[in-house]
Amino acid sequence: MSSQTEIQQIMGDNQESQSGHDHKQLELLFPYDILIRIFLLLTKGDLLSCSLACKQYREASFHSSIWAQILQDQWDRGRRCIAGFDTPLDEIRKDIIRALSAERNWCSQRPKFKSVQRLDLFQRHISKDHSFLTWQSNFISRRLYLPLENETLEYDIVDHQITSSLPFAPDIKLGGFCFLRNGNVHVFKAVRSEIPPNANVETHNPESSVITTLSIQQLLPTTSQNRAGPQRALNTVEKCAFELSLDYRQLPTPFIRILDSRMLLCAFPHDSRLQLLIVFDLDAHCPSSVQLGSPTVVPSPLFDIPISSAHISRNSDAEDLLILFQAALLGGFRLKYSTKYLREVQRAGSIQPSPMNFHVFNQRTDVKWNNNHNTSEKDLNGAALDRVFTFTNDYHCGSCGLASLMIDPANKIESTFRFYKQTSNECPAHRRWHILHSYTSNNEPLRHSAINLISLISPRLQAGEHAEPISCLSINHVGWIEARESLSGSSNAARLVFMLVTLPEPLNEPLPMTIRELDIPNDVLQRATHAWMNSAMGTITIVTHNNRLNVYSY
Amino acid sequence: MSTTEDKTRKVKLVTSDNEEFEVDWEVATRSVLIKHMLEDIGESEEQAIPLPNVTANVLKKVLEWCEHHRKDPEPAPESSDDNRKRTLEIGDWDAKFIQVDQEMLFEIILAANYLDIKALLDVGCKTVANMIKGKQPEEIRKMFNIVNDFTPEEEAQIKKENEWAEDR
Repeated sequence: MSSQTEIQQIMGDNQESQSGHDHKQLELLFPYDILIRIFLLLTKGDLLSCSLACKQYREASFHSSIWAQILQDQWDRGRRCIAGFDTPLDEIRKDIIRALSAERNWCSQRPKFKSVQRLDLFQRHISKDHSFLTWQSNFISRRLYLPLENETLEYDIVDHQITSSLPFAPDIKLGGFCFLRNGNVHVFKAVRSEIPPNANVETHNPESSVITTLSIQQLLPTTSQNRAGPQRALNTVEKCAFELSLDYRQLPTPFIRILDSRMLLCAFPHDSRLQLLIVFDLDAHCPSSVQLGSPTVVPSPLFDIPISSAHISRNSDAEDLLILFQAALLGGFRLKYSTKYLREVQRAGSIQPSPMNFHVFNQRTDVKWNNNHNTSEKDLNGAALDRVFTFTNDYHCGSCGLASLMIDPANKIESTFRFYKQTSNECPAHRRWHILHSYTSNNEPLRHSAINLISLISPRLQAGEHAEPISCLSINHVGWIEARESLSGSSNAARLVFMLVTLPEPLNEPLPMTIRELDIPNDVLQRATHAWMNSAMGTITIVTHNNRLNVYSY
Repeated sequence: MSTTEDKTRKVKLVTSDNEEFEVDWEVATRSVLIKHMLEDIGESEEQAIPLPNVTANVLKKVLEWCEHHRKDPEPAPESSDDNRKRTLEIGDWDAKFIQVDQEMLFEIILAANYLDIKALLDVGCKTVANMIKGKQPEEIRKMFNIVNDFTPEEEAQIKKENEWAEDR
């Protein structure tokens, strides 16, 4: 009632000041609670516009309920985030402003590029067993995990060799990782040792092996003043990887993801429990190693999930858990807040993840999609496939979707991608993997590996005159960017077409898409077979053909 | 409280400018405020309900809405799920109903808020949200006749933070 009076007061004042006008001009200042109600209906862009209108609007636009809903929306559309738990509004706003800014720039007639300098630092050999997925997660993580850091951090990571092996690809080396930071190359090696429950041969049975320790050792900090620094570090990593793969290949696989230069995630099945170890601030922890013993003595936050039902495939759950955490972090929310959340969960004595954060994980426990490298006749939803395929690989991006590469054993050359997007806005128990597209190709495997899920979940996969996506992109709060090779023009004048696909608001509207055709220097084009854009912030990475990786930053 | 008698019962409402409206109980009780007041005063009295925050022309409009929506099911209590399903779509009748000048729109929203008619408040808020859609800050100010009350320093700071919005 008081607000009503206040409004009338304001209106009255205004009427007086505007008395010369025929048409009554009212300053439409809504009561605070109504303003919030209105703002809850706005898109992020409109909300930010409102925040610039006047003080009252600005204050209302910062209301936590609005931003809680924005986070919820992100969640609902598949950007699973461990957010809303003390994530400062400022952080979220900055992320969103940056994302919107990128979108606007990209959509403008003449997008501004930061630079067109070639970054030699990124040049390194690539080979078939160094998957693009690895590179990509590396790049994405570099941007999203450290979004507000100094620009140079963008080019920080020299390499990481994931120490995990995927269930369907047990040959991937276990190993270490290295990164370049503050002029030093840090090399780490993940070391695992086991004490078999009983000292007999059978302990090498994966089911009965017990991991008792896992340590992260910093092997060497080396200066990168000269070019040999990073290369030497890489060699060391490869050596570690090799050693580890020899020593531990028979163990159940712990799934380790190095998320950025400050963090390591490790999930593994252990004693009928699925455990997640997060090592923070590697600089601080290393070289003094982080010891993992029983859950009660682990110094770092540990998520400890009982594996109760028989149908859970423990390895794939470990993988899922990691993917989920990675997705959470990819959602643009910074590590420390996730950490805080985990700590709080621990403090509360709750070992069960909250249903909201983990329903995907829970729901997928009976899905056999990545169940080793066995032939599977069922797709993600358990429906029988019309042909027998081997799931050889799958690509996650965040957790909004997944692409599976399936090889038809009868025809080893031809492979099929199936692209799934998880249906959202439904009861978690009824979420399904929705097949967006099925795509069969006999192109070389390397090409497949470069295809990123994000570009593929676009329903407009076969858009117009443009060829299939040759790569891809990055996703942020706004959408994603994908690259395609243009079919137009003569065959030796290929053109890369970059698209920005904006997530519609509301989600059920058609996907808007902005297409920019960029002229890439000829010499690059000649060699380019893969390209992706690192970030919606404008970095475009082009992987060239001649076994070298070249990065162009725009 | 909701007996068959209620359905035929008439309710008297008195606006701030002392105009009296007599409406069906079913129509009046679209307003949670009025419903509670009726519960408070009981059935015996033929007492008129004062609505000191609503003028006659606004109440007339609001009652028009209530009349049309008299048979609507009771609105479900607000839940977080409801909030999530954000849509700016407005039903045909409501869209036509809300085609009023800005002052009236503003008054309807305030009245719906005061009278606690959630569905009508939603229609009003969606209409305003639709008006804001795609507008730049300056356009929003102009539309609602809002005074830019940021100091030059504040404005500079905000502009810096929101670079995207300023020159889009």
